Amino acid sequence: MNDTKAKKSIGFFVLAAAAVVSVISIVLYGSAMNKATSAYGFMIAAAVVAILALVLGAVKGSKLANWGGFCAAVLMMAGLAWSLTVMVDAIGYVISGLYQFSLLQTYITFAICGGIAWVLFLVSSFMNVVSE
Amino acid sequence: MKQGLMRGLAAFTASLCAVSLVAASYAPTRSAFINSRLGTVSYRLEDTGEATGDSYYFESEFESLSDLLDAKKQLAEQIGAEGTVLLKNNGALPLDASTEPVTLWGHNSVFTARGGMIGSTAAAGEGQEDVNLIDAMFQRGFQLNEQMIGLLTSEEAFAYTRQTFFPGAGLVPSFEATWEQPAVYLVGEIPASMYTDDVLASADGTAAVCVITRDSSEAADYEPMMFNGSEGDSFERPLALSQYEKDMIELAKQHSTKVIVLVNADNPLELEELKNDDDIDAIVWAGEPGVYGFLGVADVLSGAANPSGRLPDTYAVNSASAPAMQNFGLYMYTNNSNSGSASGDVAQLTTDNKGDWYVVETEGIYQGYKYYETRYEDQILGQGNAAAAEGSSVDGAWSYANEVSYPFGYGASYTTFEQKLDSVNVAVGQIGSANVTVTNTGNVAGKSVVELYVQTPYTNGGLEKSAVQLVGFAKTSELAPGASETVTIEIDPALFASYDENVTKTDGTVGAWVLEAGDYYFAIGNGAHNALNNILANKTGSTDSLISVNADEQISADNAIVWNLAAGDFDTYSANVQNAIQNADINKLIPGTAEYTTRADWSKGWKTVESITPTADMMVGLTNSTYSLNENGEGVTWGADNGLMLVNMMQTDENGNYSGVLDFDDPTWDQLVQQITLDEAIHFIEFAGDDIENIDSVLLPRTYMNDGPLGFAYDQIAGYSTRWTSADSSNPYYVDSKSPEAKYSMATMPTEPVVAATRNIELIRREAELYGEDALYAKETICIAPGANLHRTPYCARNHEYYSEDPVLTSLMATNFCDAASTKGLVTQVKHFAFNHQELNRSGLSTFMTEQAARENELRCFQKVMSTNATGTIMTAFNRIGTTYVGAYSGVLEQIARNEWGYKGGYVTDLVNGSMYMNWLDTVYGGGGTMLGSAANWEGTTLGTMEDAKSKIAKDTAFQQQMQYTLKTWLYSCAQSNILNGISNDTKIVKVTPWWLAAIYAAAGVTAVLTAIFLFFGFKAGKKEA
Repeated sequence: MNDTKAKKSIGFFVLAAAAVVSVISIVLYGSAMNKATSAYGFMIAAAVVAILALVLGAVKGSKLANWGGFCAAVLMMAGLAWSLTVMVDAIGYVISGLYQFSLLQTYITFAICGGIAWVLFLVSSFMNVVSE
Repeated sequence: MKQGLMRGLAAFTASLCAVSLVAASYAPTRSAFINSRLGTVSYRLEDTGEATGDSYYFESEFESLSDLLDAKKQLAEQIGAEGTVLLKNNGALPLDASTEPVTLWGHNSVFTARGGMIGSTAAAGEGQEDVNLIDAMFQRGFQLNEQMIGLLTSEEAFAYTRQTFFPGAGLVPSFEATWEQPAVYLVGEIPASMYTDDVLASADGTAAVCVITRDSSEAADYEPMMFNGSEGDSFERPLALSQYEKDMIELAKQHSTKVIVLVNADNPLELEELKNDDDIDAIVWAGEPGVYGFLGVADVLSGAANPSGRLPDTYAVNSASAPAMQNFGLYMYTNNSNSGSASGDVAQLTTDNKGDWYVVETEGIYQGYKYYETRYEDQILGQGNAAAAEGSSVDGAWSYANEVSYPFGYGASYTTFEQKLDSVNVAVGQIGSANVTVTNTGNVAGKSVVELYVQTPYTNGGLEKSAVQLVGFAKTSELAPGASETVTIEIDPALFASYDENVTKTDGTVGAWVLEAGDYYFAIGNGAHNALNNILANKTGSTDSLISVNADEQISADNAIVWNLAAGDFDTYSANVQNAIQNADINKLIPGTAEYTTRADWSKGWKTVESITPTADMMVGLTNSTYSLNENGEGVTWGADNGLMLVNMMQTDENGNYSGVLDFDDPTWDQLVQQITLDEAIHFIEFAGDDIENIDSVLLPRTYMNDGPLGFAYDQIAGYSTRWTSADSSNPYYVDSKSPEAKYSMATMPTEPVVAATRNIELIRREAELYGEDALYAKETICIAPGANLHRTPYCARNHEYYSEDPVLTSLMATNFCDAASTKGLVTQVKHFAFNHQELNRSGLSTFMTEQAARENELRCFQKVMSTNATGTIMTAFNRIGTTYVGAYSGVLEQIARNEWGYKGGYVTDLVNGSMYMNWLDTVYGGGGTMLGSAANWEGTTLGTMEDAKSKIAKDTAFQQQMQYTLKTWLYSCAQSNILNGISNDTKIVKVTPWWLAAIYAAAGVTAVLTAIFLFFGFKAGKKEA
């Protein structure tokens, strides 16, 4: 256990970055035009799983932490997908000219941030959080 | 290493699987939209074989869609011609198309306004004939100055085009809350300097037709303080001529044999300058005549048609001079969510409340001509301080002569008519009549409009009364020179009864429709002013002091007949009537807030209500907390097995055609409704638009519902083939996507003010029948039309979707439209019930008015069409009545509409666009029916979706009873519609999984399997590595 505790791999830092970006995206989601409770749930779960994995890896060196990125990626993507369902109308209104594009800007900012978080989670899932 | 690869791949495929699962859950809720775009279906109807007949209860009168399109075009031309109003003519019109070359002046002759923006855009579809003014004049044989057309269509001129969303649109619609009044309007005229010497020379010796245009749009308004966004141009007010327009007309005067001004706008423009200019030979109002209406306008210009239209609105010298304009625009509560703050015990409003704005209709009943004409009578009779300077458009005393250019109902002709009011027959509680003999005393054949007005007895300081109001109208057939015709106009005393909020009836309830004892003057005239002058001539025995604003006005005391009512009547029109909207009067909520316009003293009623701090009671409505779910009652029955289908409620004749529907009060309706499951009911109410959800348990197929007033909107249904799929190919009205007319637009008809201007009931009925035919060929059932709100002010940019400033004209137009549409199985959806008087911040706008004004003006527009159940559905408005959302205001929706009028049809909200105040809980509880929009708007809110609240709903009996009543009203309307075409007692709904949904399921399955495989190998590799 002590051997692994000191060895923080690249995967660890990628996952840490993903966790930070995911938390930022959750905060940004608060200002989106329409919000889905389930989207919040999935994204918060993603961030929590990532943080737990980081803690587990850093403190206990458990290999279970290597699966943190996998779980968080799936949860993050589910959250992003749910968030889109409540924005479909608004996007349609912007396309048809009923809404102005500015109404979507906060959502788009969130979606970009959330997308980056998902990519980082995905990349981290290819890596080990806990070095061998 | 290998484990990491497998884990990463699993993460990727599992993420895709998550997306697929979300899509599989969400996409079916939008299946109607997806199916309509992909040409797929989610269910099909199957006959089990025993039924006889074709089960087509509503059938087309046309052999083909081409025949229908031809009929629509011809009708649009006729409406265009009969809706054109001749305002001035010194003999310049008609033009001789074969010998008089014409120059079209004005850049807007290229970019005319033919309809509004959004739900009522006039549009031609792919491959469809598109006729603009220039095309129309060429088609009608005019020799147009092509050099001028070349200039107006040049790239240089294009830089000045009115263009916000598309060329020819100068208003900026906004669906967002705004904290500033819209400041800019683009007139789109070009500067005089752009007219080159060559072009000007080319106009010499030609007749000038100068086009003045203003736009219409949903979600936009004109404001008096706007400035002209066209570079270098300016105007005093947006409905006044701009400097470039004046310059253009001056050039036309210098270079033409005659000058004709063509007014291409539904909002009343200020024409006094042109009217008084002797160099302007003629003024013609064309309104916004749709895709083909300019052909009719060209017929009027050429004399092929004799103008017979009458103005739907008053044309004031200064359109901002009416008392209604004193409180039109942007007014915010002191505790608004933007810059306000909490005020004492009253919290600050939030953006979720959508309750920051209000408007107080301080003009009371004096809207449109009811203001100008009533003040005029008081001016003539020297009463009510009518000459006070308040409201005067010039310095000093108020005088009618300075205020009105063309009165409501005015219209000239190429011939002259003599109208004689022969008799009136009036009886309280009965439909009376007036006979009028019309003789063509001129040299040209033409139609004449007869308008009957009434003046009811007024006591100074008593119940507010308009000096004149429309009772009815009729149009003659085409009369040859010298020919006569006697027309009969119905007199329904209910239409001119006054609403007294203070009278207590024998049953103890307060509020009644009253006909006060005294003399009632019935009069005809070329417009409201002429009728009033006839009344005044009769009343005073003199014409000496009377003011005429039109040179052709003929005043005759004989054209007014007095009918005396010996004893006042409070009962005849007051069955079930009682005050229902008292809390819409701001003075009853916060005494002394508003000063209403009154005949007792015309110097009053000009104050703007600049500031209101809502009381705690008002905050209940403003914070959307009127109702809550709670456990009550014994529950209701859902999902019963009563063996009924919706088609069982329809009655047919011996030929198998529709002949009626089971009486609304028949208990079989309750049995039918009880078959519906709670899940189906929730889904139906929560997702009532743009399409109406199918209810399998009673065999109601998915029902398509779209805008709008000009015909089914092209931006919502891109053509006749959109709703059809190959599975429908056996339907006799099926339009294949490859047919030439597949992408033709249905939104081609003239706007409502033009239709109203025809004063021709036959034409509007025919228009509605052809909308019904469109519905058959486009697989539509509900048309969100007509608009029946009042033109409260000339500045509402959505007036083009409403008929007039007069409630009786509006009511008769709307009722006849809906009644005729129903004969084709088309369900109409009259909108926007009620008080949608301005588009600026319309969402959640608190609208205050007196109950008398509400009932006599705006509600009278809707009363007949709802009391006769000519319409099957009603769309509620975005605004609030007082501080309560109109779609949840039971005082109007239930007490007035259902208890007093007997309305039995359905209600639906306007588009639920994320605004919490339009929530399903208040709407259903308040009697507002179904929701046009998506439950997604409430996901994540404290209220949640209806589906989320199902367990709570199941315990609230009162709420479920409201749900069942809502379902009953909708089914009652659907049972009278074309939606049951093709359905018999043996029909069954067979669910189909469309390919796109199958693909989503497959994607979810494949990605799940791949994830499992990657995980398996990942774990295996992990063990090895360990």
